[in-house]
Amino acid sequence: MIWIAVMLVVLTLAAALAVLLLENLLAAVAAASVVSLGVAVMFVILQAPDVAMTEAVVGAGLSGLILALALRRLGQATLDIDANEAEHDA
Amino acid sequence: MRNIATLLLLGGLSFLLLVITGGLLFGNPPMLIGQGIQQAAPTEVGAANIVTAVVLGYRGLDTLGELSILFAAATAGGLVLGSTRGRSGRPGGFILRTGVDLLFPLMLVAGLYVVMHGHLTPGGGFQGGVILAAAFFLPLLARPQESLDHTWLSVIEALAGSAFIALGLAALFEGRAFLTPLFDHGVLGALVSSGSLPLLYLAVGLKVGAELASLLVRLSADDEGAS
Amino acid sequence: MTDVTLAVVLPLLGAFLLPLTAHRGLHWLGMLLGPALLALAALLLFATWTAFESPYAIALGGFAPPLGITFYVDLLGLLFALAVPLTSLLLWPGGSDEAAIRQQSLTLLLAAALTGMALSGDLFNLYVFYELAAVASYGLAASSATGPAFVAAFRFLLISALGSVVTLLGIALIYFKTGTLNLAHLATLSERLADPQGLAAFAMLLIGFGVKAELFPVNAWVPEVYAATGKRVAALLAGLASKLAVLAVVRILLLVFPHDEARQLLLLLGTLGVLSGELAAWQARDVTRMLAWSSIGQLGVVLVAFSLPGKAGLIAGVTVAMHHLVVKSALFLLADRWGGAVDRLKGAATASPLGAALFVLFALSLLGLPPLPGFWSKYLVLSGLAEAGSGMQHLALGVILLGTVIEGGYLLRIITRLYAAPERDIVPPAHRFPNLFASGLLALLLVAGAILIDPLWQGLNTLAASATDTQVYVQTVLGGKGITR
Repeated sequence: MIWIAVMLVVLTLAAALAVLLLENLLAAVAAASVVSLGVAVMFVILQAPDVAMTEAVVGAGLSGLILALALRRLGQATLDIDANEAEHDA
Repeated sequence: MRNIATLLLLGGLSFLLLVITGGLLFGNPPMLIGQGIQQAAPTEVGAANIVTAVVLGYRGLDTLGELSILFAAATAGGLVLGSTRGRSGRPGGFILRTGVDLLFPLMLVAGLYVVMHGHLTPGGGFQGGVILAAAFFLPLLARPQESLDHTWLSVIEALAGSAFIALGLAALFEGRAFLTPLFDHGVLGALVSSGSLPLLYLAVGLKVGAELASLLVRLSADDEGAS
Repeated sequence: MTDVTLAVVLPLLGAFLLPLTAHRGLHWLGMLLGPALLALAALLLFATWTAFESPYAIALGGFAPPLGITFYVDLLGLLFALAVPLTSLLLWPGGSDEAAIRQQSLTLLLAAALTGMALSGDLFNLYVFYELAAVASYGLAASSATGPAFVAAFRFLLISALGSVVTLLGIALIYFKTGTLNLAHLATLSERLADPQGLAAFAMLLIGFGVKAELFPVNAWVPEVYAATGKRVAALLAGLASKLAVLAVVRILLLVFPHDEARQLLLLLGTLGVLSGELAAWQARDVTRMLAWSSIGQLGVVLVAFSLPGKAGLIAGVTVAMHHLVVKSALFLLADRWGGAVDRLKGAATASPLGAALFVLFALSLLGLPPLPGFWSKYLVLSGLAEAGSGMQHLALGVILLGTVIEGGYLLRIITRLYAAPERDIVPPAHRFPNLFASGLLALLLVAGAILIDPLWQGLNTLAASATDTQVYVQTVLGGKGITR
């Protein structure tokens, strides 16, 4: 069990560092979701399934989605649909 | 220079927190309320999931507050983003469309399950509501031109929020305090048990789902008008 | 049916239902709903006030304290709670388009949250209501939908979010050390918090709640937000929201941290607030920024007053807070069309003589001219400081006197401009009628306060006597059956 926890901590910290260092903002958002996912699994290990569920759903899912949509709105990133559109236009 | 200043601030802050928390005795905090609730909850509330007993029973008013905070944030977001403009854009690729068609019913079921079993298993209105919102938003990614009906979302949202308050007021009109759980406890662990808590969670789930769905729709709407 | 819980719940219900009135020709209902519910809440609280005999507690959800959340109803809480629906009604934003409806929803949410803060007897519940008030304020700050308003609201959001995180840490620290969140239960365990960690927790709470109370280190958002938003919003935030945040701090100070160090900390930050606010107001060239900085100074005085121990401190604090609520709201309303540089105000008195006269009245009361209530409020603070008598308090006394002198300087600067001859026939616009009407009502209230000084003094005495008695609070909520280990 302790090794799973150690691996999780390393993974989470690495993802958190990646958020700071990544140049591509969309990739940084994805990395932030990974941080939340790692934390969620840690909550499960600590026997707090309710908190883990909230963290997974809100931290890893929803906030990533909202950040990505905000990036698209600001013109800092394109989602799949826009990329497709560009292909069609080309 | 600015980065160094930020790092110094963060370092100082974490040092301060370490000093403050360093003197605490971890492992044996005096959990007066925690133990009191653990002893009283099964008989007082009748929810198999004690977290739900706390969230909707002992701290029901806080939950109403959280619900209102989310509503305030969504309203403020709407104020900043302005009214929705038209949606446009061509449908997504084949993989996205097929994946969404496959995922939509599954996510719907999962969301409803999490909402309805909140008083028995981990999860509840907030988590299930977010899953529901995501389920209804996914088809929009695949087929941007088919918009969700905004009016219906706001009607669901308003009625679900009012239903939560109405359940609280019903207890008040019976002469008990606001948000007192209604009905019998039923059998611990049965689907229909712990009084009105499942109804409260249904209201929470619908409100959170409708609110977040309309927020996502608003965020994904085109900013520059028709493209 | 005079359960005070309704005063919190009804505005919430109204806020949830209001967006529905945007559709299908229900505009008339939307126009009525908010004011009607606020009036109902005010009526309910007033009925409770008149029928009040002794403090009582409401166990929400029927769960006996300390396990469940409690509302505590006493005169202090009722006074501040009553101020909430009345002030929001006075500053109600009209209109029936989509943006106006959103703004009204947020105003109702703010009113519900602030009423909840006045009545709540639970530390975490206090935090939830505070957070609701904060989120509603971000929306209101951005509601004028201009570039500067968005920037100001965003800065407000950042500072306030940081404050919220710090508060949450403070609450976690308190919960870790005591194992409870109920204020009455915490009062019985307060000696567990009489150490450096407890003081740190109090400082954290102070920083968090201080964001809205315009406390010294965390008030940088104030001038920007007030200058950029509508003046009704500014009046609501400066006049009303700040007072309820102060009340939360006072409740925590009285019940959970009855230690001298905590009072000293509050006194220090309040004194610094007076000094920095008044000096910055002196520097300001813009009318609304000047009023904003001056509001920081005034709230510093409020915090200094509440840091005085015992009944005298509470009476002084309540008086200064209520006086500032009336005067600052009115001044912001009157400054609605006087934005921009002070020099552009020349000749404003010829355009709206009544508005200028009211402005002078409120400014004089703020300064503390004898027959007006402002004099009594300042007198109470100063005499309390003089009696309390340690070095720190004497320093605060000096700073407040200095602040009053500076205040006189900049307020006179505005007043002389108001009555100066207009330049090149450019006269500032006259006041809108609703604003003039609202500030007229507040002026009547102020004058009534000056005339009814005797009954007010009696009332304040009974209010303060019961509010400072921790024993009554604990007995009422717990009935002598707290859990200890």
